[in-house]
Amino acid sequence: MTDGAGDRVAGLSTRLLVLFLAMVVVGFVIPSPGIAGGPRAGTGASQYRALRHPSNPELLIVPEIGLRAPVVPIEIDPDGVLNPPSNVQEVGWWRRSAMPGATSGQTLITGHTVHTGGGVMNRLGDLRPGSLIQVRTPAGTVDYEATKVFVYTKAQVAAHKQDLFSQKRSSNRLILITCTGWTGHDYTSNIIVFADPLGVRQKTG
Amino acid sequence: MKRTALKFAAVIGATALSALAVAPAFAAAATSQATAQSLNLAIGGNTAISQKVTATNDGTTETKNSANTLPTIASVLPGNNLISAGVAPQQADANSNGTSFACAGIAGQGSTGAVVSTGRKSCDIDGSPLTIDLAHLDLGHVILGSDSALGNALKPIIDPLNTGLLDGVINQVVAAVTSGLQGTPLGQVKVGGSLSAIEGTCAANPDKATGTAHLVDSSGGSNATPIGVTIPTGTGSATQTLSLLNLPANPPPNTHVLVNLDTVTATLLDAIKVELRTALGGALSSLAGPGQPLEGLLTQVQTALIVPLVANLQPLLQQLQANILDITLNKQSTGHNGRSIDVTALDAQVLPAAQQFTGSSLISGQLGRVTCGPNTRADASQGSASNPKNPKNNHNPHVPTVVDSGLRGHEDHTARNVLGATAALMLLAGTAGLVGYRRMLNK
Repeated sequence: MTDGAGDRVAGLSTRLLVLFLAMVVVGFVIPSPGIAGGPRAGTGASQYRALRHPSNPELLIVPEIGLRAPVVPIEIDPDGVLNPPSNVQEVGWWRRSAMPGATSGQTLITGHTVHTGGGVMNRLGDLRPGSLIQVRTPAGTVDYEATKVFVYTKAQVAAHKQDLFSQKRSSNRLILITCTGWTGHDYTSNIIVFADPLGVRQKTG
Repeated sequence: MKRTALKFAAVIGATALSALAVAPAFAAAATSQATAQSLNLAIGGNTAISQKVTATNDGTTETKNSANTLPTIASVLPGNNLISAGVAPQQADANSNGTSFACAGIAGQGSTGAVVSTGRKSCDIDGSPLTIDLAHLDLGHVILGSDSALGNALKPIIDPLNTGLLDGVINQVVAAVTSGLQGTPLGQVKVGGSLSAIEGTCAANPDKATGTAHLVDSSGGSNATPIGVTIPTGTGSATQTLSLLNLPANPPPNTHVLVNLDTVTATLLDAIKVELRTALGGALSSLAGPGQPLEGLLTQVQTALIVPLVANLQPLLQQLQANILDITLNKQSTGHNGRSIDVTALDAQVLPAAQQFTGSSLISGQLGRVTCGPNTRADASQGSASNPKNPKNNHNPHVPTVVDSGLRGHEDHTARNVLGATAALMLLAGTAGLVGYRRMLNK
């Protein structure tokens, strides 16, 4: 190979390297709307409006994990235990937590995990920040965007119960919670999903 | 002195009465819940019923949906021929005192044929006898193989006696067999029995949930319900019934009944052979008379033809052998430390692998599913929430401390067994390989 040919190859390699670097930079600057943007991306925040008034939840929909379950009101028992409905295909809304559409407080919904499968929230841990969550009410369907998915042991849940479930929060937040950590005898932990309300999706066109 | 004591007692009494009157306003109300679903079926793989009664009570008001009784099975299962005329009652109630109950199932239409004895604690289902056919497997008609296959089967028999005329005779026999067997029905295999009702019931209070399942026999009593398989005998429309099992009237929780239908196959095969022999006898009678080509050979020809004909049915028979009747009675699971229960009176998977055959009508699903609880009792301690000296004040459940949202499921060890068997086989194969390798090295 001559020196001229070697120079041409070296030049081409340099240009390709620069091109790849440029593509990487552009990729970071312009993220994919389908991955990073979540439900808000591509639609614009202006396409959501607030629910006219807080309303009881009727149906929980999480398309990403195929969850679509009726919501029934539930209450804490005297020992402070919140039990979902015994029907593993339904989810329970803590009746003293905030209604969807409220501007403050926390909306708490829980459903069962069954270690052999079939629980309505068996796949809750598959959610990621940005996942779309919808809660249907008689006044409209409120969209939420997951902001955090994490696991607490039962002891951590008890220790952080005020942060997790208190209704003194200034802005509204949706919390989905189920069990995890099956030991063969019992569940040791809870999967918890935080989600912020986007509002009721406006019809465009 | 006496007067002062009376005044003091009156004040104490009035205070106590006032406290009692005010207390309910502060107390956390009891809650209760129950559901009932008589039928959740997929029949023939396409019809599904999933109507359900859901009852909840927030301590003051009961909220309940839908009707308690599905009209009739005939109206919800158009064209159904698996369950004779019957009703599918379902009832659930949740009381303001923290108790709830439910019952659901199927029952024959009769003098009652519905939920009876609906108190505030329990309910019962009663009805007249109904027949439940868990499965129909239509065997269809005789399937003929290619003419050449029939010809090849006949050749060794007819060849020695009909040299020179062989092709002509075989063609005659094949034509006669083909027309004679056209439309020969092989009948139906049915799996089922007769009873009056199948019911699942449950009840719950704030401390405990209990449930049971009950099968009422065809005479309204508590005898076991026989489940049998009905197959054709091969002679006309006559049938014979082989007993498979008896379903107990009061099955213990999670009674699993698994019946392999291979016990049926031999009898069924005999019936099919009789049917074929009869049909062949009729078709070949004109060729088997005096002076005819098959004179004296009828039995041999019949036997020779039945073998390839039965061979054509082998795929169907193998499917039947592979299929099982898988029933779980009184399927139960509990949760919330025994404060909730899920009961299914009869969970059936019948001939699941036979669905590919046209004409099969199979049940897959649950009869009589009920859930009760978890319920809570009224919490009077909240009445003293404003009293900072009350130590209970610090323990009031203003927010949850525990979210108990995990249930123990029904174990299925199939995968584990398969894995175990596979691991054992791999170990065996590995050991054999090592031994072989060592032998090779020793050589």
